Amino acid sequence: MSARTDRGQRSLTGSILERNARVVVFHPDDDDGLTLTNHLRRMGFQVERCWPPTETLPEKTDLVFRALRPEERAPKGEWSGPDAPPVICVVAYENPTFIDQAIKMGSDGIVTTPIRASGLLSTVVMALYHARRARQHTQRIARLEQKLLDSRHLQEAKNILMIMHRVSEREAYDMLRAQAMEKRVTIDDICHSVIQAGEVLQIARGLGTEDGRDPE
Amino acid sequence: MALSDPIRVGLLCSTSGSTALLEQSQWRGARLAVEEINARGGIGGRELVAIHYDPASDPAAFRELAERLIVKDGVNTIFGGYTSTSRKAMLPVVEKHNRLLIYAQMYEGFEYSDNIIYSGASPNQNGVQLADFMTETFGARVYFVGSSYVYPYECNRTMQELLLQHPEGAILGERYLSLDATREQFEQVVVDIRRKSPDWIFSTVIGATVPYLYDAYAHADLDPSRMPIGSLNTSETEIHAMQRGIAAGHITAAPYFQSIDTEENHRAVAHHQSRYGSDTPTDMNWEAAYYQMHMFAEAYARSGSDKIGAIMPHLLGSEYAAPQGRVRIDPVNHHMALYPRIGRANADGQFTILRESKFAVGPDPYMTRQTLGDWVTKLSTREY
Repeated sequence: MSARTDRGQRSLTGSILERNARVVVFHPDDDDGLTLTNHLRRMGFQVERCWPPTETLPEKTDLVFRALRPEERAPKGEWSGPDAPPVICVVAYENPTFIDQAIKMGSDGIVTTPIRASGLLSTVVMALYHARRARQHTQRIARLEQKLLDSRHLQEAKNILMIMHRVSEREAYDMLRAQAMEKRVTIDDICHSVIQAGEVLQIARGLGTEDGRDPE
Repeated sequence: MALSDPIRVGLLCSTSGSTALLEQSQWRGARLAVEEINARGGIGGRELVAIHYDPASDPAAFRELAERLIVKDGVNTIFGGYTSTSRKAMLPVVEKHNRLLIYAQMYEGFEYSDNIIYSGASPNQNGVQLADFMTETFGARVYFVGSSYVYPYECNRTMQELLLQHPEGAILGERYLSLDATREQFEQVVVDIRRKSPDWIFSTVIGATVPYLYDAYAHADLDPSRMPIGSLNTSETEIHAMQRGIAAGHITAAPYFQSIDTEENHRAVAHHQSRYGSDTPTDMNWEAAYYQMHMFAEAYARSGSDKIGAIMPHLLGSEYAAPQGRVRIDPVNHHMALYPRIGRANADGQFTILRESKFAVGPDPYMTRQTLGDWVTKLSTREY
């Protein structure tokens, strides 16, 4: 990351702390619940604690702490989804049973009881940071997938025009671009129209490739 | 402090509640060792005194009493804890005050604290051996029944991973009942077991409910020679609480049984019987509490102090000729090198030892190198 090398860049941790993030703590009202909420308040977060966990989260929740109790055998991932805030699980036993359970819930971090001040800020910052990176990656992947799809549509539309009008690939592309400019829509929209028309006129996609094989 | 002042340690063993039966056995083991130590003249001429409180099988009471032993009684070392929940309750207390907890009980592994010595078996010293023996002898289609708390959950997960390495490995059922479940609930489980007809039953049922499972099994006319219950915790003490003969034919894997034929065991059992009567059995809980108190006394004699920083180097790596064989505290992970054994309960409420390890097996509490049928040390075969 550039933040690591660039001089004079803002501290990532500082900016996370500065946001006065809204944290929901689902934890029983015991020593650990109290220690956890107190530490989070000391770090400047807005904290609400409740137990048992609610099905929906308050609006604009930035982070959730969720106690995994030994007596709960299979807790559900209540707030999963693309826009859900990161979740940090609070476990009493750092063993595979509970770590697996946290992963299955889609947890972004784990803290173990007894809760200590030391280590808590790192866990919070890393969970928020990785959740943001994961969100950015998801968006980027979605954009790239769309692009890939668009370019496949373009290829298909060009093939249709090449067969229909017996023109070169370059000429087919110019035709699509001209149409798009004239109708003030994107090339992709024009491609869609051509592909649809091609299907109606039964210019099968296969034809293009058969045609392409002819010279052999 | 005068050189003749007694040395005081804390002893938390419940006299009531769901695990009192086993914690009383721990208490007898620890008391017997204290008596032996004092009969020899104490530690460097000073009497060893165990201050005992009753946590009544309640984790919150374990926490409060540990705090009280340290703050009010000024004790540096606490012995006690049966369930993992009770150990976990005491952990923050001993860490906060930097004192030593000696937890003389096998558990599910996956823990380490600078302030705890874990002197019961790790899962690689009982679970792996049980899985190996049972799959070889009876098969790998298994029904799981346990108490509902962390030990059975994690113990079952470890066992399932071992079983699923077996080509025919299958989990036919998994039931959890509370520590104060009723006998009727176990009857329903046994009905389900009969219907699913597994090769064997893995029991992680704990404390006062253990006899219910074996009793319900016996009354359903199931045959232990064909479909036995295998356990890591059912000991002579639980069997003693059952109707006579009920547990015969069922299997337990543990590093200690009363029937072990060593000079150290014969001597300790004879002393125990002279004190508590020949009808009161010893068991794995008794033995761990017994040798751990002796190991503490020896380490104290060498270090001249029970401040954790002073005594810990003398505990770590130390060895003791325990009733089960020569045991050792692993200096890296604070658990014990022990002798895994497989025992089959007989009609007298004792165990016939079917297999035993010739050498101490090192503890692997994080189960980092365990596969079915491939242990570091193979058990020798007796009778089988």
